[in-house]
Amino acid sequence: MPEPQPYIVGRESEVDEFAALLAGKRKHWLLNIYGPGGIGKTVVGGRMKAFAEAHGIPFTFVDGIDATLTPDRVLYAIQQGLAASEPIAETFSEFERAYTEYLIVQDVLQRGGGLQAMFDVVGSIKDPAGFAQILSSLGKSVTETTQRTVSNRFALERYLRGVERMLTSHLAEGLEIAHTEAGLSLAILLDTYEELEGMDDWVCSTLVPALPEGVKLVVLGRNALGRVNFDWQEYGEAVYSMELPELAEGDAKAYLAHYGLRDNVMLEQVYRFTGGYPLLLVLVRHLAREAGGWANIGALDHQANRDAIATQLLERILREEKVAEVRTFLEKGVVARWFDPEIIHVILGVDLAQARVLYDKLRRHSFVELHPNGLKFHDKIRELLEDRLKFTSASEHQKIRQSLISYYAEKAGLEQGVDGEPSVT
Amino acid sequence: MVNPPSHDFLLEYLRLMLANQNNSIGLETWRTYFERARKSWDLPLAKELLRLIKNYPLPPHHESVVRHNEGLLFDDLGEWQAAHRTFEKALILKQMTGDRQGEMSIRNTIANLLRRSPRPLAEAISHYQAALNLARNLRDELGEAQILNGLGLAHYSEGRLVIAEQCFTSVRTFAQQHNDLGLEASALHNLGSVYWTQGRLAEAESNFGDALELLDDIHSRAETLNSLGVVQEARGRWKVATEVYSQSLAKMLSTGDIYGQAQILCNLGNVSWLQGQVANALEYHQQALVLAQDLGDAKLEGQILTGLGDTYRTVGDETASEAVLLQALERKQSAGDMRSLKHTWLSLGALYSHQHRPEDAKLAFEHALADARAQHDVRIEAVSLYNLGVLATALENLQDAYSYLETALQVAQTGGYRDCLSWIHETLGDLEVLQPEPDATRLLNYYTEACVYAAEFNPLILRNTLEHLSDFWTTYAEDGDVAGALWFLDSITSLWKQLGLSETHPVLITTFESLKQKIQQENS
Repeated sequence: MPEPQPYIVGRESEVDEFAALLAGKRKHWLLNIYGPGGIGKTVVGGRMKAFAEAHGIPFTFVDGIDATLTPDRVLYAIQQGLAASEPIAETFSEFERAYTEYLIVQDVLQRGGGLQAMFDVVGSIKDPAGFAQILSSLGKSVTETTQRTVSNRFALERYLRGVERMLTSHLAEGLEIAHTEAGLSLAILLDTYEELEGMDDWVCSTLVPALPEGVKLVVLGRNALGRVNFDWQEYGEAVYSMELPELAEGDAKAYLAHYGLRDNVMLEQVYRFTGGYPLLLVLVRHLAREAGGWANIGALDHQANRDAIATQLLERILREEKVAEVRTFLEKGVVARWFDPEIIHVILGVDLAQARVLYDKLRRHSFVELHPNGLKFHDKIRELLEDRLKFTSASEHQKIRQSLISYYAEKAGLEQGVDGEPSVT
Repeated sequence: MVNPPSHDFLLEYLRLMLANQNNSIGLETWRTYFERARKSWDLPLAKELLRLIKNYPLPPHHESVVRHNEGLLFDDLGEWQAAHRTFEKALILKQMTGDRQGEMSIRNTIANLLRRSPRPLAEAISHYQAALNLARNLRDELGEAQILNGLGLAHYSEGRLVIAEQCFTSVRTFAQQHNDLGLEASALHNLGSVYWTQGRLAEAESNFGDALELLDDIHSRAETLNSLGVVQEARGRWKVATEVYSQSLAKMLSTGDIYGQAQILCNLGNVSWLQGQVANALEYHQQALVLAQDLGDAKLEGQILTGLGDTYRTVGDETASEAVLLQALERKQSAGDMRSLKHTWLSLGALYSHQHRPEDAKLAFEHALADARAQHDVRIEAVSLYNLGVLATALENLQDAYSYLETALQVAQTGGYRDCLSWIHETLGDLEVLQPEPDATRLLNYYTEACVYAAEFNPLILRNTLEHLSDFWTTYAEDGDVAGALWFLDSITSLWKQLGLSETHPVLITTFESLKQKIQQENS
């Protein structure tokens, strides 16, 4: 069954929450909406965006899915988004100047082969003629200040150390002016935050404290901010985290219909079974996909407990898996956060050639998504499957964990204890 | 598919340890690798590891450990204010959980940070004292030794060298008894600094060398090489010092420690200035200054500004020199850097002497002398006395001049400062000439000693001494006493030949023989 485009469902209440935030009716100024993947956080973001547009609220929308994002690019994306709003377009001139300078510095560094290649030990340019050529080949006018910065290692290192703070500070100044001029709240929406978690310390300790009053930040991601980094707790009431709640009946049914469930009786049955709970909707959708269609999913038993329903769904999905090794890996491989053929080999004990074949099969499984080092399970599904493994076979879970610890230790070049357990020295 | 970097495996390894072990083992494992990353100055990895641990909700006693380590990382990154805030959070958590051992440790860490920060030293000492009391109550000998090591440095900063030496000596003894090589190296290094200040240069060099043998991490080696460079500089081996500083800088650059880089750049500036390479000196000092200002380190800034003030004076920009030196004085006073104030007073005295402001100069040299005596800093005491002697000579107050110079001579001899001894003898020789009836033997002896000490120190000081003597006797001849000048040149060359100096220091003989020929030609 081909995967249709994500479906835009209701989510009116989150938009209401957003409107209240912008109107200053909330104690918090950072709204964090979290929940499992694929159930509409981006949709919520889209609706908020539409609301801001409709009400003339200057806003910017940064999608963490862009793998090239770094702190400086996030700042640039925020500025670009807000500068699109006519009345405040001119308020970021200082930031733009600083960002242009930053791009020139990066360009010089890249063309020069990096710090080590450009400078000698006491900080002077190794090849002045080559350096002059680099500057002239930039095709841009380079200010005297920038030239001084890139001409000495210590000046350049100092600049690079402070550039994120400097750009953040220029952006914050621009935001403050923009807020005063617009006389309205400004909105920054960071979507798919799970992909930005690598720079969460910068967001938490540099960007957020620099934001002036009147700027409202919405962070949409799979995890509550407090679970990403315990430093977020220090913001107290300024940060409000809310789990994406159940979809209203109409929205839930529309969601299921979008994924091919047209039969009204079944629609009702599936809706009742999931209660509109996002994770269960996602799982039931996976089940339909793995079973080859909604007609094949069979009876769904009501259970009081959502986790029990989720586990039941997972078991049903696993039963649909016809290839035994794939199913085994779905059950056991969840101990690893990401995997490649070697990790499959470590967990299942199959040879590497078999592991590679299995890896290719797993690549197509709906539970699995890409990871920079290979593949990974959907976070929430992995969590549930791992709990299931711990419950059904604690010894197996422990055995896999030990194998992985030894494997990771070996690959990381850590010491091994006498019993094969890595030793802490 | 690209092979994942080994850091990724370490992170996964730790995730499993943190998620599935009981918290204490997981945290200990994390701390081991975090400390390793910091020790090898792999700060990006340390940041990754910190991000990892913050994913896990921790009980207060574990959070305090993470906060302590986070503060240390901030300190490595040169962000002392962030480090201080984080340590304070850790301290509150330690107190909240009644962890007295942890409180002792964090107080010692805070004291170490404050000692190097622009905050008054009394704040650091108060934390050291509290930590020391805890260590003694807990009978924690290692903790006590570590605290004494820091407390010794606080005393050293305030110029209380005797107490500092006592602290470091007891730390070294403890470390040797317990085979704690890291602590022993640190104590040896700190003792070396005390000896350097006291003019015990051979002992200082030996201590720094011994510390270097015990150290294996790049950062400590870079710091110790820097200290070895300082000793080489004090011994007049300026080219060697430049080379050692450069080696130290290369190591420090690889660690990313800005404070260390600024210190070494300042020293490179100072040694360049000594060698007359003023353009280099200016560049190094300015680079160091920017780094110190970035760090917000007033002590370091004060030290660099002093070097910069000397360089401005040398290039003739006296207005900038005075402004910078006064700023240095203010920085050092605000930071409570009492040990290093005397260097700035000396530089100010030199500037005021140059500007013919004898009263201001005298006051500055007297400040330097008082500090040096209070802090048992033999070298600065000798240099201050020498400068006061030169000043009195210029004012033709010969009685005071003799008094200062003779005391300076005794003090300089105890420290064996050859450069200083050369200058003192040279000025004593000049004073002898000014007598109504100069004593020929004394005169020849003073100048001979001046040249020999200079030659033993380094060629540049010798060149300066010979230039001074050549100018002095040329002027003497030009003033009308050609016979007197020729008598002196004849006498000193024959005396040096008798002493065998024509073989060891031929430049002494050739310089005066050519000067003699020049004077003879001009007056024939």
